[in-house]
Amino acid sequence: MPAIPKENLEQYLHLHRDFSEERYINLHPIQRGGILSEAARKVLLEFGDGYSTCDWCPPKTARLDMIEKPPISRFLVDLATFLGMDVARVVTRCREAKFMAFSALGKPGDFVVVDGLAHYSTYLAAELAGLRVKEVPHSGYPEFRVDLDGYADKIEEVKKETGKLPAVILLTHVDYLYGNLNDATVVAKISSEYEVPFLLNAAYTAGVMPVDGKKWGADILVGSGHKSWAASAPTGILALTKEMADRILGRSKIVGDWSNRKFGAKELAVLGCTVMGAPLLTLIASFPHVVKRVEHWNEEVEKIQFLVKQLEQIEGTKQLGTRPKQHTLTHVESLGFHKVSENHKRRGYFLYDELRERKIVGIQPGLTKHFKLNTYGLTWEQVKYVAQAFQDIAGKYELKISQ
Amino acid sequence: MYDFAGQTQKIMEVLISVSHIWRRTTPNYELKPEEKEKVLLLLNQAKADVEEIINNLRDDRNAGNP
Repeated sequence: MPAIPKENLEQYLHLHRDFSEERYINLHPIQRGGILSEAARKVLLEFGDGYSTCDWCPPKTARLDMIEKPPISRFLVDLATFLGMDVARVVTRCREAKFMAFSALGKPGDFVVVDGLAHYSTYLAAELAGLRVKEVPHSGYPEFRVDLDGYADKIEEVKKETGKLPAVILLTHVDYLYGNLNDATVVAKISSEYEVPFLLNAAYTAGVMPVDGKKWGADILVGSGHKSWAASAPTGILALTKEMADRILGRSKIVGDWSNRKFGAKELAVLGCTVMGAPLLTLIASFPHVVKRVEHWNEEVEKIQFLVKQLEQIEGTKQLGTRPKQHTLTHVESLGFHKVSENHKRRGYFLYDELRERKIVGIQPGLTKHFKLNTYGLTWEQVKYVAQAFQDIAGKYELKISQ
Repeated sequence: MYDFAGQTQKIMEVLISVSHIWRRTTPNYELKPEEKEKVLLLLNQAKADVEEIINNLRDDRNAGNP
């Protein structure tokens, strides 16, 4: 057997995270909504071992979503209800949920219409499913507002080019670049007029703010457990209307040509079972916390609006995207800090260094002119601390601060 | 037989509750009076649970020795 050097093996032991939540205020744009609840951290201890969720897998319907102890099947019903949908499945990631929908609803060469700020994984999911992409443009600097009415034009374009309708239309509810919140009902209305399935990518919204898929007219709603449900990675959510569940969650029909084995209980699109073990259990354990926290969304919006106001007092600093902020993911343009970086020996890293010295992390090292941050779940005291820290750094480098 | 494993698990859970309070007070750990009271309560509980394990471990019968 090939030998692995002892020192190599030792480095895998006693791993610690540099930026634990107990030591730093973390503003990382994609991390705030995934911070575990207390119950989820405790459940990790209990269900960390491999297939620990499968102790009571029912032998006749051996499938993750049929397990009653721990209450996975019950949870999936409650999850669907909470999202205003009929059926829910936990999958490994939001992108897989998109891929499952794309591959079930489209045929190779079909189009999916997406917003011009869609995440790269939307494109890759379409590509893997053999679909082509038609983009709905946004307004560009400084708002980057997606032209929601433009979905109708793009559907018409697809019709003209191919002679048929797109397989799906997808809207990113809140985008990853500017944190712009889009009105899903506008796109739902267009999807309904053309009778094209509507997929709402709620990776940044479901789990942190109130979401009602059916009320908003979504046929498919996808989400991310590790991004917005206080769950460990990898956890994604696929939530469907009954009609879409019939189309997307069909059962396996394959039969072994020699053994004659078949697997009719298994759902094909999810390849039988998905997230077995600890990540799923963190999602479940955090669910009561999530159900409660979405009720406080307005306060989260107030906090980010407060922080933006404080940041914009700093010379050359401006929030990009639509205003006022309606989501905690925020893109900041800071010509002032950029000016400082041009003459600083650490160049763009100075801002990261200064923040880290103040126990704040999450802003990408090296960035000053444009950076993203997220305040979701921080206490008011922490948000005020962050605001003060930015202003202190600005003052230290003699940037003007207006009152 | 004393439940050593269960008691150990209980202590870890209590300490996670404490660390969650630290999380909400990062980076200055300025505790409100009710948070301070909660931390002290939890740590005293953990301390008592650790002592219980030690006492039971010292008792040969509970440690599984004949």
